[in-house]
Amino acid sequence: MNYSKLLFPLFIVVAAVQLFVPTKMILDRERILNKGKIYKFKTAPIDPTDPFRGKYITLNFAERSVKVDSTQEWKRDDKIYVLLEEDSDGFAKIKGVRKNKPEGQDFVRAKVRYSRKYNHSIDVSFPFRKYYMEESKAYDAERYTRRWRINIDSTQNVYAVVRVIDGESVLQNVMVDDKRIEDLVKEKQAEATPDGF
Amino acid sequence: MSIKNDILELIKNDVISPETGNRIMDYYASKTTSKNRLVIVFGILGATLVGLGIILIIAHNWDELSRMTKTFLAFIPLIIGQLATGYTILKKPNSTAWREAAGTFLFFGIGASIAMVSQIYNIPGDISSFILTWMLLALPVAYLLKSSAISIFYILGITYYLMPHYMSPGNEEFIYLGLLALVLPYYYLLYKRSPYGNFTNLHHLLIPISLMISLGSWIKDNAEFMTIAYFSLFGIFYLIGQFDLFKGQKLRNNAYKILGSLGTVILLLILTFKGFWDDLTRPNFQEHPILTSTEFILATILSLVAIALLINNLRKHPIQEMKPITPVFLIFIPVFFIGMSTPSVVIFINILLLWISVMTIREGAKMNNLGVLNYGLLIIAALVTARFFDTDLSFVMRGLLFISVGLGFFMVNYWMLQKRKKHELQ
Repeated sequence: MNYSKLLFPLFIVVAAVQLFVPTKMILDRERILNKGKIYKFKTAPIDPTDPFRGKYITLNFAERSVKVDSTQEWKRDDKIYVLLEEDSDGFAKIKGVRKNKPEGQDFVRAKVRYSRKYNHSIDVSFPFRKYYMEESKAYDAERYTRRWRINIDSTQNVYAVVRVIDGESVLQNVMVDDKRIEDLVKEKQAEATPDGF
Repeated sequence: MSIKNDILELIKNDVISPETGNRIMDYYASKTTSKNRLVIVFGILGATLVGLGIILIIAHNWDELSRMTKTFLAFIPLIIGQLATGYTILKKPNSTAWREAAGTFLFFGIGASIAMVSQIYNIPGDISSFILTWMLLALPVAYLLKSSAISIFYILGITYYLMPHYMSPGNEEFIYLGLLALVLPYYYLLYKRSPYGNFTNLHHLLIPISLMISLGSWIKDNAEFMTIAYFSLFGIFYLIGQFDLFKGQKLRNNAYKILGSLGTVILLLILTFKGFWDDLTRPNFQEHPILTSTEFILATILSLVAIALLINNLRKHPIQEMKPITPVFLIFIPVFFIGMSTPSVVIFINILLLWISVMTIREGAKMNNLGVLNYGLLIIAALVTARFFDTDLSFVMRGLLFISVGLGFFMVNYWMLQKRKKHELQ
């Protein structure tokens, strides 16, 4: 039968697509990581789990609201372009939001998280909110950063390093001052007493 | 083998055509013995466990490894799955065990590799978008490899895909329908290939369950109309269950009939409570436009399909033979609209369910089938239980009613068994 002869070539095509999709995901991200401009977003992490991809921390960004003329035009889940700039301390700041693709400025694609009528502002939902971590470290990452934020050392900065190019973004690292959060958690875990703190 | 020689001889002497000969040989090649069946089951089970194990190990997230190493590792389960599948297509195309085991492993290999890539690069997106990519990459293999395991995992996957989107805006329901449509040709081909096979029966079970689960995701503002949609869906299932293709099949292999009947009865039971009908007459329900609502359109489409199936059914079978469950969806439509002005239709629903149970008991007695008989009794028992939770009868009264229903169970079953014994003696 002709069909059975076609079967293998067809399978090769399907297999190629199966290989292509993850490869494309990798190459797209590699390009952003290598060429993208770095932005640092101040953040606080919390830790949930995904059944297939493991533990991650969700990042709540300090910089997420922006004033708009009228909240009518900005509905939940609308696709938007967020213009970025750096503040005097070198952290990312939202310069404004646009409905159409901006030219000649740094921006990221994002969504409207919700809009607030009373003070004419919207909250932005950035696409880089998930940071996957080794399973024993995700919860501790939340605990340690929370502890510092509240009472011990409020001068420490927790921030996400995000690479941005052409509106696309990749979350590269989450840092606590100059250390990667996973390294810091590892140090803290090593020096912690058996009962935790 | 000798049968091959016989067939070749028959072809040579023009007794059968070469195509028929090929089909006979294919049939014998694919015919599964019970020992073979065990190998298939263990093959799928083994591949599933190993595949899920790999996904779990990946989910640990080994942050000591460099990005390069992790990226390289991400492809290994996928490539092993592809090699096994390629080998099966080339060398073992007729072995069901190979096809299902290799397909299963490839299925999880795809999931493992995209899970790992999205982990390495912190790729955003919720679990739904991850599942969507996974399912779309896996489905073609079901067709190429004739792997029912993949098709089954796919149906489970697309149902899982829809679950987080209950009552949310967005168009995932439509994507789900599209995804389901993609697997239907496989379902059809599988049915043609082995109408009474275990995989076919499993599809008969999973597809209606998936549809049933998915229906809830269409609910927006006029949820009440979904009762019509659900009744019609159960009516459709029940009518499909009476298709000729299920004739002579055991009831447990006819999931359409079971789901249609159980769904209708359970939904009726819920509607014998006053709560729903009180809500329906409350004015705030009429706030949202009805005719253009998703629920109303959906209810209309499903009812029309059910009516078409009913007409088709009546052409083949006389109306006297109609089962009591069959017309419920149709009866419910006017009842619903009357119910919008008066909640007293709840009495009618109670009577309708009582009638169904009596008819079912009668049918069971006529067919000498204890299962059907007890199903009818069970409906009465459920109805009695439900009623005596929401009325003010005294405990003694309720107790007596429960005792009489219980005694009814004993007596009817005893009577039936005696009748059988008499028949056997004669």
